[in-house]
Amino acid sequence: MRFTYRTGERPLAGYTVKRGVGIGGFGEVYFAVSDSGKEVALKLLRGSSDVEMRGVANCLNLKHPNLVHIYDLKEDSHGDKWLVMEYVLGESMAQVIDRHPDGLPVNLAVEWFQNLARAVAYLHDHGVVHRDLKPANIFLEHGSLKVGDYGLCKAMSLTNKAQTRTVGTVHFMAPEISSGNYTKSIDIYACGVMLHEMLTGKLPFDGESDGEILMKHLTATPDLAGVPEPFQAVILKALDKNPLKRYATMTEMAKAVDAAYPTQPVVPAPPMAKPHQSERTETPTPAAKPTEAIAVAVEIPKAVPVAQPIAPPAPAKPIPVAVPVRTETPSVGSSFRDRLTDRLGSMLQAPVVVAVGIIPWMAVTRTGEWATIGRMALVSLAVAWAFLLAAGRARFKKSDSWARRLRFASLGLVIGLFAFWLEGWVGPSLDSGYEESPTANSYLFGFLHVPARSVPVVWSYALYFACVFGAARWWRMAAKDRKERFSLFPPFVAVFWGLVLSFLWPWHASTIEFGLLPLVLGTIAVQWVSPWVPPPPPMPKKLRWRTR
Amino acid sequence: MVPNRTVRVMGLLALACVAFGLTGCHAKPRPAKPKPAAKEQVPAPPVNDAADRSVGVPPAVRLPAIRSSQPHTSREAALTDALMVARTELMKHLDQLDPPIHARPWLVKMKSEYVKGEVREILPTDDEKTLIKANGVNPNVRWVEIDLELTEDQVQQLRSTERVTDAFRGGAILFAFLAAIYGFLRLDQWTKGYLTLWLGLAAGLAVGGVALLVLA
Repeated sequence: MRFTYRTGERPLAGYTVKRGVGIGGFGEVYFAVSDSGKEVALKLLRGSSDVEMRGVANCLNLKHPNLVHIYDLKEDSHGDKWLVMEYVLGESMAQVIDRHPDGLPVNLAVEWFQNLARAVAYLHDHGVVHRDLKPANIFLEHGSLKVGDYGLCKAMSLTNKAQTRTVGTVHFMAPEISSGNYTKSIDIYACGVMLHEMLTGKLPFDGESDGEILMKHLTATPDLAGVPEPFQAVILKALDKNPLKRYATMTEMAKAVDAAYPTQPVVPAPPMAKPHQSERTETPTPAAKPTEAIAVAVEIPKAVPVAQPIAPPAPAKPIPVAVPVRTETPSVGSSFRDRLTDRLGSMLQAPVVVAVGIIPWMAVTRTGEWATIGRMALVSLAVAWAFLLAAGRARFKKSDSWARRLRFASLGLVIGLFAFWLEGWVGPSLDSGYEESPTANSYLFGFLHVPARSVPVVWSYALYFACVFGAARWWRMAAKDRKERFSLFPPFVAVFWGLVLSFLWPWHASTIEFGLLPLVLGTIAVQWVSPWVPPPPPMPKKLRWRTR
Repeated sequence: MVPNRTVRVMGLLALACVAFGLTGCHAKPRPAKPKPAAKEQVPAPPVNDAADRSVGVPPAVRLPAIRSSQPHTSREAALTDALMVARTELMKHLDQLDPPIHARPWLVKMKSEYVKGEVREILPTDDEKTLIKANGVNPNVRWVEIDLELTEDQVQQLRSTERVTDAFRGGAILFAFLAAIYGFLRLDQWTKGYLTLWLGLAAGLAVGGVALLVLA
């Protein structure tokens, strides 16, 4: 990710860039501060046509509490267009869904959907079709939902794969987009996909490639497994292949959702009322609930007067207590920067766990030699780091693939070579000369000089670690959606595979503990340092019954 | 039906076995070429049979008859002197190995593990005694002579120690580098970019400082 402008630069008169926030299909986004101290987001729009610019200009005066405000559209000295927008300090809905792979609590999903529906309906009422609705474009700030990137959509076509990829919305693309038909029904379709994803954590149409997903949009029936029964009809209608059979308006869809799962009507706040404490809906909350665990559904500020409540007041029914969902945890994000920070944090903690884990081994084996202890520590740390690096963004259940296994095995190969090197063996070297002793030297592939006694050892080390790394699903230890933060199962698996593959281990050179202990310590360290999101607490019985 | 995962695991194991079996094919000894020029005498490494390495195998390094640099009145002092001379010789020798080893073995370890055979005391001859006495020094002195031998395993252990030290140095620099990036990212997030430049400078200085400290 490379930004054009750096911290402190002033690409636009009156604004100083503080840092780059992201790069999307439309250009670069910066966090900036105006000369008078106003924090804004600057979006550099490159390669946009005049027609698209006019579309953006049409959105300048839109005002809605659930829309990210656009302050201005400016042009810099190079002729580049800049969009000055409200800076939303919060995470995207995509990040929240990412942390809840089994879906959000139903009442929260409905609450958020209603907010989303209000924003989209407002856009439609003003003649704007968003065309790129997706969780990544929806932001949550202090429990309030805001839709961004409206008015920015470029023309998307099936033939223009690069454009589609940069926009990144194939999962939310209505079938009629292939024919260039951009009406508000495509937003309704995208909202249907999002409702599905909010409720189940999964997309209705998924596939290995963009083409496969697009084909499913055109032909397949959405997978409604896991969708609570009252919502199935709503989603089915929203995802109809024929736009004419979908909901005619966003308001209609919101009403259908409200009918499927009635919520307490939002009472508009009196003007000038103090936000938060006085505005919270008086729903029963668990007595021992910590402050930060207050349900988001309850915390959505009602101080903002809701101009157009979409759903008619539903009959008063007690709202089930919302399941706590933290929406402002910056630690597990989906942006590259957040992922990098998380990964680095894990890698920095790993040496501490390894060091602590080695102490019992030193005590039991009465090892005091520096080289031996150091070797054990370094190989264990290398194993832990390799696990962390190879795991990437793997999920607990559905990340098993040849590519991932080969990635692990390759890193295992490197670890094996590292262990070989640390033990003081003379490794291969490029050598064009011939030594005097043919029994003491070998040549791999004709030019790689290897001392003969090292040949079986280097292969043994490399193959041992490569096979152990490729044999098991180690990425599960680092998956943030794993069932438990720490389990004894991976260390046992490490011992098992270590023993099974022990025929590869160079027994004559070292003891078995150098083959097993690094793996065990690595599995312990990885679990200990990897971010973990606990599964949502079980729903109350009443709610569980409703969602069946 | 065989589960997909089982197929993958079995595939990897099969690959491992095939690769392991191929190692013998790859390691082809080349015929010896005539020695181009007289090289410094480097002891030939032993044959690759690991079981034979400990017993009955010529040592990897042999430094015979190393004598203390000067006569000493006590045997212990002469032995220490001889060990120091031996260490200097050994370091020179290790430095010429391929790849070289830059190790400085401890005298205690040399005395207990590397000295082979008996420690021989060499007394001065009558002429030497006269000469020593003429210089006003106690003529009751002696030299000590030792033989130093290192097996292939002991040389490997020295190499391992050196590599572990190097790896720790490299690891410390890498750790500092990662910590600096992590700190920079975290602090930059907290300060919302207001101090990016200063934080970047501080991170760079921190990494440079650690690198200097480790490499110095």
